[in-house]
Amino acid sequence: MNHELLLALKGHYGGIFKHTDEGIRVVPGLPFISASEELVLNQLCKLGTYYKDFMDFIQRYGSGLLARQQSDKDNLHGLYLKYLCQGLDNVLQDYRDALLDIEEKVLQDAYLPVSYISSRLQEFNLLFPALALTVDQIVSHQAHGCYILDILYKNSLMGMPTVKSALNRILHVCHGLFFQQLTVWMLHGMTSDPHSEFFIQKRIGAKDASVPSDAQNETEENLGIMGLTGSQLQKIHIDSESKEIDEPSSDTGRFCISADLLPSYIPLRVANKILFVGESVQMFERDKNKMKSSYQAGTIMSSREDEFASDLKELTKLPEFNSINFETIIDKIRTHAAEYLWVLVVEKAELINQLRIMKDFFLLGRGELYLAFIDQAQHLLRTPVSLTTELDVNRAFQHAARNVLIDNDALLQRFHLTVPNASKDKKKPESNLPQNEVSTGWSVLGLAYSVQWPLHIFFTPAILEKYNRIFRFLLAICRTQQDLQFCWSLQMNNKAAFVSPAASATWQLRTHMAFLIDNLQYYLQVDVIESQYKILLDKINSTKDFEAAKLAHETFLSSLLAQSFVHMKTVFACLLEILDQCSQFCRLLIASDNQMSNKDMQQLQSIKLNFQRNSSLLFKILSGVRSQSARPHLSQLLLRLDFNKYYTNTGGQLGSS
Amino acid sequence: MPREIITLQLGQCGNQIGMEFWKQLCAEHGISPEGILEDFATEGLDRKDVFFYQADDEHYIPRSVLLDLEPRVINTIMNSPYANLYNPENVYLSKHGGGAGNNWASGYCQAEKLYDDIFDIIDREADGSDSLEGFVVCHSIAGGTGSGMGSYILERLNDRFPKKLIQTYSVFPNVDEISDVVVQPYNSLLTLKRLTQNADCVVVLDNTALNRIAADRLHIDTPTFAQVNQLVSTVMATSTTTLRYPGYMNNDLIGLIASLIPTPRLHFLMTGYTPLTTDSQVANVRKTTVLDVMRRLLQPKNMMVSTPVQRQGNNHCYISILNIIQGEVDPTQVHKSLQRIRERKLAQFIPWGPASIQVALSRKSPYVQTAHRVSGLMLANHTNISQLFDRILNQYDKLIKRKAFIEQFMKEPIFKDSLEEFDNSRESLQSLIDEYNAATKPDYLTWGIQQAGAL
Repeated sequence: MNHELLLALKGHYGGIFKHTDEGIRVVPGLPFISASEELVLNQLCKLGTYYKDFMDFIQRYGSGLLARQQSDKDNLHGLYLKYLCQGLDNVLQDYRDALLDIEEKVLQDAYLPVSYISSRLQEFNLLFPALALTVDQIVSHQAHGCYILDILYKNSLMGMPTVKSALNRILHVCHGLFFQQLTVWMLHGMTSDPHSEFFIQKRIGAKDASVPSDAQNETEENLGIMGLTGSQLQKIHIDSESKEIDEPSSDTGRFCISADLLPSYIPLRVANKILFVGESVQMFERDKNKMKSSYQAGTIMSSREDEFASDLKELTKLPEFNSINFETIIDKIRTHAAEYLWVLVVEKAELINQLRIMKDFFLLGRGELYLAFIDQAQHLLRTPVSLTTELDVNRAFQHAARNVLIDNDALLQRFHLTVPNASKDKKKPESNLPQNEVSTGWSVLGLAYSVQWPLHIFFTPAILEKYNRIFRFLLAICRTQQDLQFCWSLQMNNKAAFVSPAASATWQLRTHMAFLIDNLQYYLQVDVIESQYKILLDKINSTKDFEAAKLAHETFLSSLLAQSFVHMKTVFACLLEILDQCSQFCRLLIASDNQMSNKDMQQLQSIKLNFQRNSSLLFKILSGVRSQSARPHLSQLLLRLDFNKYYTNTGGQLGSS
Repeated sequence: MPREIITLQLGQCGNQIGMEFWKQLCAEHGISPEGILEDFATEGLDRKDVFFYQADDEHYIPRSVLLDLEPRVINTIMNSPYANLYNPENVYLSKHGGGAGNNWASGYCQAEKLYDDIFDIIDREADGSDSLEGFVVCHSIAGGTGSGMGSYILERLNDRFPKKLIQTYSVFPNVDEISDVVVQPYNSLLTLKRLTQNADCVVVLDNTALNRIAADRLHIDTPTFAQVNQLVSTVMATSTTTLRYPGYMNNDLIGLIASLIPTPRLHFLMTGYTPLTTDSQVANVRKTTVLDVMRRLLQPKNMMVSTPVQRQGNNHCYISILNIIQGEVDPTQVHKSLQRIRERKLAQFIPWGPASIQVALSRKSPYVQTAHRVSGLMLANHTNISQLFDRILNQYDKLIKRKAFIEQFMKEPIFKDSLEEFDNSRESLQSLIDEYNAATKPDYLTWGIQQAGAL
């Protein structure tokens, strides 16, 4: 009888103990078992039922092929599940030991009462339901990978010591796997994760980040169909070069944190640190061949790899997961990686120098270069884009650069102006300039820059696109300013005599336009770019941490975009309108050559009215009371425009006389 | 396109300040007096090609034309260490060699005769540049050569290069000392007409103020030519700094001056400079801020014009201001400084149009060690400059009433038939003064239209 019971407790049923819908139960109404005994036995049999379920679970998932089994039925598979089973089995070993112990007792004393067995197994009455609940959760949630850890951890947060310790033991076993994966990832940048279980996953559709460059590649490849001319050969050459460098840059965004796999007890910030370390290491592993001999050989970690590995190993040994220790060690590794990268990027790759180049070229810091370029390319870009525009523009750019004595050819080669062919590339909605029916070259002009390793982790395609948006805006301002200055020289031609009222009004309009544009540019260059640039440099120099530097750079860019109004639709649209009116005004003035026809006069009048309206709109937005505290840069621009209160006194309208 | 600028140095004074200017430029660009780039200067990011070109043997040669009617100053230059710097073909001395005798008419008429020779040089120089932007003329308005020949050349440059800008650095005579040139008012008046009508931008270098600054601020009892010229060359070099050390703005001459000059005739600029102390006085008590520099630039004592801007009392006001600040300053402070200056009403501006202080942050030459980490130059268009003209007009009126010394002028062809040219010039200057005065009032623009109607 006792053996029957022991077998039943191990999940094997027989004549006395039957498997029913409610689990293993004593066959009711047996003559030698009283009703009260039946109650106790049934109570005990629950343990047997649980045990059997556990063993079934282990049998089903804990052995055999790792690959997805019975995929039609459920999705449970993977290494973590296997480790879970192993952990579960470990815990059940206690139970089996207990049964063994009881068996010995039974063998010695055939009259051992059931109550002894019952009391001996009492602890499992608490444990098994909790375990079963956990397993149920895992099954019902179709828990996968690290999510299993999360379920285990959540369930282990309870007051019952036995349950807690049992679940912690299981968790510990699973953490063994987790730490292995973590170590491999953090120290070698690899993922040994055949079932996609680790919380760091390859990004699906990793190409997203590099869409702009891809789109460009496509258009260029399309050109190839037309037969290979010298120009296209060159493009392909540049293309292949840029591809080579582009690829790793899109790789940096290749991994991401998969939120549903991230255990809740690992905070996202820690997860991000882990992601960062792995990515950094990975970048080095892959690009070993690109590393110049001057760079330290080996991985980022090579100097301290052993130390970190043993640190992580120590963590595995701890019976309970200690998130503080965990974060401390992750931090240590991250700090090392970040400092290593900082040294590499800031010191070896001369980041500061690179930032200056970005400012010089993208933010028009080299004003004289663009002055020369606008001169050279004016006639090329005023017309709609044709097939050869891009080549011509680039030639003009190179020419301009040589004229202002930039003789660093290697540097120049890395810049490439892009003029997407509008007819082929209709889905270019982000051209910031007012779209006429046919967009001119100016409105779609972009600047591409092939970033050198390892700075591609700093200047990702997304970042470069941001630079480009500011670049286009600044270039448009610069162009307008030059046009207005040219008109000034027309005005200066007549110094001897006083001019007619009409001419006087025209010149006054020009002066007001030029004033607005000049001050807008001073505002952008001094109050925004120079100021933010200084803040950026201060930050980079004051830290030793790569991520902090990167963050500072991102802040820099978003401040630029915000304060240059590129992100403020109302102001931006208004400024673009103003730029457009200024350009129209200059075209009209230059074309008419002092001989204004009636039609010209009408057009002039409408330009004037539009300019007045827009400047007054600008004034209203800039001086809006509510925006003052929230957007201090609005009042900064206003201060420049309204320095002598003229703007205010005319009711916020420029262009009238 | 380098947008080259050709410098014309006319007469004694023009050549003296020109020489100082080139000395300063050579020092700033690391070019030796022989025109050879120093070893330490080969990596520079500066633009030498605006003011220099390179000869076949890589020597840097100034785009400069030296003209005089008497040999003294040019001989000094040719005996100085800088003798080999200039293109010898660009140095022109009148064969006659007697000078202009401090007589505007003599200078003017001699230049007329030398037209072919002079413009051969200028044409050759212009042809040698890719995209000439304009001319810079250095001269004095009081003497004979700089004023007379200068006037003639200004007129002809206009005809010959109608699309090129003309900027002048014009030295105005010192009124504190009794001049040996009695006909100074005549010369000045006649030159001012050309400066008004033929130049696009005149940077006024007032000898009165320069001498006062040298005496008061630099504590030199009797300032020498060299010391005053040092001031001038500093101003000249600094005002071209954005052309030579390119930044985001003001990279060409037109970009530099267009925003300062809203109407064609009001193109006489004052300058101010800080710090104006001798080296012995250097005591950097604290870090120089943008506000410090901008505030000092607005102080009358730092202005290089002897009719200093008064804060109160009259209606005179700034038409425009451009501050060029060199050295390490915190760009985030620019906005705050502007705000403070407006709050404190440190500068009065015109009521008839928008005006503001433009601040350009520029680089400094790494090769010239200065005691001051930060320095600033102000180019300002201020209506008060009319007082300077008023003074010249008054002196002229006194002289012409007595027809004093007029016979020297009547000897020359231009005055042979009549003295009409005097009247024309007087009228031109009077109208300039009127216009500057009108520019202090809100109805300046209608004033211009009324003038047009009246004529």
